[in-house]
Amino acid sequence: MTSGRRPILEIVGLRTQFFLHEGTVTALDGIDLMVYEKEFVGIVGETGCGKSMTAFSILRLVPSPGKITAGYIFFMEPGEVRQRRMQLETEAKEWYKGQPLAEKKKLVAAHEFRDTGSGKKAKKMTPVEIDKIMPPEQAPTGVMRSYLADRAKTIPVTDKVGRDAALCSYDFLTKTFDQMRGVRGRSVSMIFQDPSTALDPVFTVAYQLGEVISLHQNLYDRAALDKKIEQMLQLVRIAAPKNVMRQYPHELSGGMKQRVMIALAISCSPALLIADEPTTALDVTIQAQILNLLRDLVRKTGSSMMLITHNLGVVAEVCDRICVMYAGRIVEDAETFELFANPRHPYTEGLLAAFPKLGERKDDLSVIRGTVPNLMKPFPGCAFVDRCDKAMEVCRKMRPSRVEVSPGHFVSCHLWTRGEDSDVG
Amino acid sequence: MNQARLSPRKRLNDTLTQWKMIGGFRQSVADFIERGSRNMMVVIGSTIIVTLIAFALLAPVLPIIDPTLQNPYEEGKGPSENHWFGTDTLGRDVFSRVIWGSRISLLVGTVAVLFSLLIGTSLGLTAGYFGGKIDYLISGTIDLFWTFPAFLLALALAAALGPSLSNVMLAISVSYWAGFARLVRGQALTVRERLFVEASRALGARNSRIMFTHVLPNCLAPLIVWASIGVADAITIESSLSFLGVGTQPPAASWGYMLYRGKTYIGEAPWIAAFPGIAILVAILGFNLLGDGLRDVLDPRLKGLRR
Repeated sequence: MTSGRRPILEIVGLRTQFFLHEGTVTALDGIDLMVYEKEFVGIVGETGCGKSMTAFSILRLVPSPGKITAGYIFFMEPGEVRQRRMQLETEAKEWYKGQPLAEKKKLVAAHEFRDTGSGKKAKKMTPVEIDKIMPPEQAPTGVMRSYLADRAKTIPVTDKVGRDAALCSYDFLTKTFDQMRGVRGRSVSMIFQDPSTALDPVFTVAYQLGEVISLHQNLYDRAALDKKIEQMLQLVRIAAPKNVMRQYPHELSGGMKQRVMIALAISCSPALLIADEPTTALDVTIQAQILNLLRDLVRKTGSSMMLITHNLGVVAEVCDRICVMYAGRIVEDAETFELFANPRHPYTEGLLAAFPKLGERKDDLSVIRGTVPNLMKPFPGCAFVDRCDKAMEVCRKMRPSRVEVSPGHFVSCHLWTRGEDSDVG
Repeated sequence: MNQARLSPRKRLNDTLTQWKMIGGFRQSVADFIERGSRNMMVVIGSTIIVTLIAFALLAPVLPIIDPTLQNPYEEGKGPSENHWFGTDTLGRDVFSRVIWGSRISLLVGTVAVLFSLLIGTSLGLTAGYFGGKIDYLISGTIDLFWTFPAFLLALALAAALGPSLSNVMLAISVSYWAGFARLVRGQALTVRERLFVEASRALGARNSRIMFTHVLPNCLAPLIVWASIGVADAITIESSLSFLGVGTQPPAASWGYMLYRGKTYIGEAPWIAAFPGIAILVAILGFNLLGDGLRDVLDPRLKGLRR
């Protein structure tokens, strides 16, 4: 199954928080996500659950008061480096576990900053904040990073794999802003929800496509550039590319604009394409066309795709694997068929039940009762507990860990972890 | 490098085909000229301005009377065959003075506005795009200049630096840039929040690139209009400065100065003030028409419209 394939993107424990005057909003709370080579992953969830924030975090474009405060985003990590890194991480975890509590506190105070992976000066945590996150069973990112960095010093320079592993060289969060800029558009590209605002209204289609291509491919010869642009537009199945090139975004229809947007995104054949609700702003007849186009194109270029949507129909049609997000966490992660056949998390069950079926007449559409929890209040337990029909005592107190209920099917729910977690809680 | 070896004809052909290319800068320029020539406002405005500039440049070679020549026998005479616009109180030919005056007025108007446009746009764009502390600093400076009446500041500066044409231009630019800066900042603040800015960042564009190729062009429309009004404003400020003795020094002529001097005799000899006044009016009209027209031409959404 998935084990033989190479992971393109590996997100581990990613946390993105917004520091506002009113308090801290945890938009992403420990996301674990894998995207394999040539895989289409769908991310599903309701509004405000952090789907788009995941995309922005990957590109490190989290808007201003927001910061990535923990986690790793490994991209295109070679297998040997990955293996080595895993070893080192276990080593670091063991070491951290062995430390007494006072020592742990000291470590956290010294190395855990409020934001990792930001170009700006990091802010040290106050003792109160440290007490809040203590005692973490898992080693915090900052401590891990510093341990690994120390460990890297003991690895000889000739051992490139070891050093790459210890220094997390393939982690987006260790990259500088300049390096990140090279990644965006070239290795990881993004398609936005609303094509009518994502294109600059004052430039022609040719100009905008030409800008991206010349920027990333150092192609400045106008004739060659024009030929390339025409090819791109043909690729996204625009009937009269020569005419469209000359046109401004407002002269195109919504579907056309989205095609141009797709052409922009895939113009440098990125390894990973993030599509943030690419069909939401389009009408239903165009939606299917655009989805098919996206699927065919991405298959052709051999890229992976991350499709963010709230439309279960869309993911069912296109994706190989689906991650269900709720309140900044990934609650269930399974192959498409498996997820629709055996939803394990109560939220997924509710979501599927709420999806009206064709030919079935219902007077009342079923809904999941209650509303999304306030992300400003930290919840120690499961985020879904207040809306869950199967909630238990333990759900309020402890955060469910991620378990594999069947091969490739991960769930974070106490219904499935009860047996394993009881000794810890 | 390669082009140097090609024959001139081949090179010309290459250039021509390049100009016909679909995307890129050249097509935009060709497009711009084509659309500009269809817009009546641009055509009229630029015709007026080009004519005025031609007169100003050709003033030394035109067969007109020396503007400083005083004729005691012809003091305050009305328009006649010899003096089309009449003569002023010292017997100088008003027509010739209007033409010579256009040199100073147009120069001051355009150069001062260009300078303040340059300062204002770069500062305003930086402030609006980056926000935060930079914005705070620049906005503070803008407000500082803004609270001070532009004319008073220009007067103080011109007086301090001593009366000369370049000082007048400097004084006007220094006192006038705040308006442009504030305008651009406001525009940039809204434009930077738009999705295409985010999109180009997600496609790997650097800050300077986004600033100049995406944010600035989207701020351009109000800026052009404001600049065309600014030219008129600068001409007026210059005339006021000259009137107060810190601008153009007599016997050199500038429109504003002539207007102010002629004001006293508006009852007996209206032509002394009227003709420079009309000249100012025509120049301002020209710049405003051009500005309005340019705004329409540069806005791709109005591309198909006929005016």
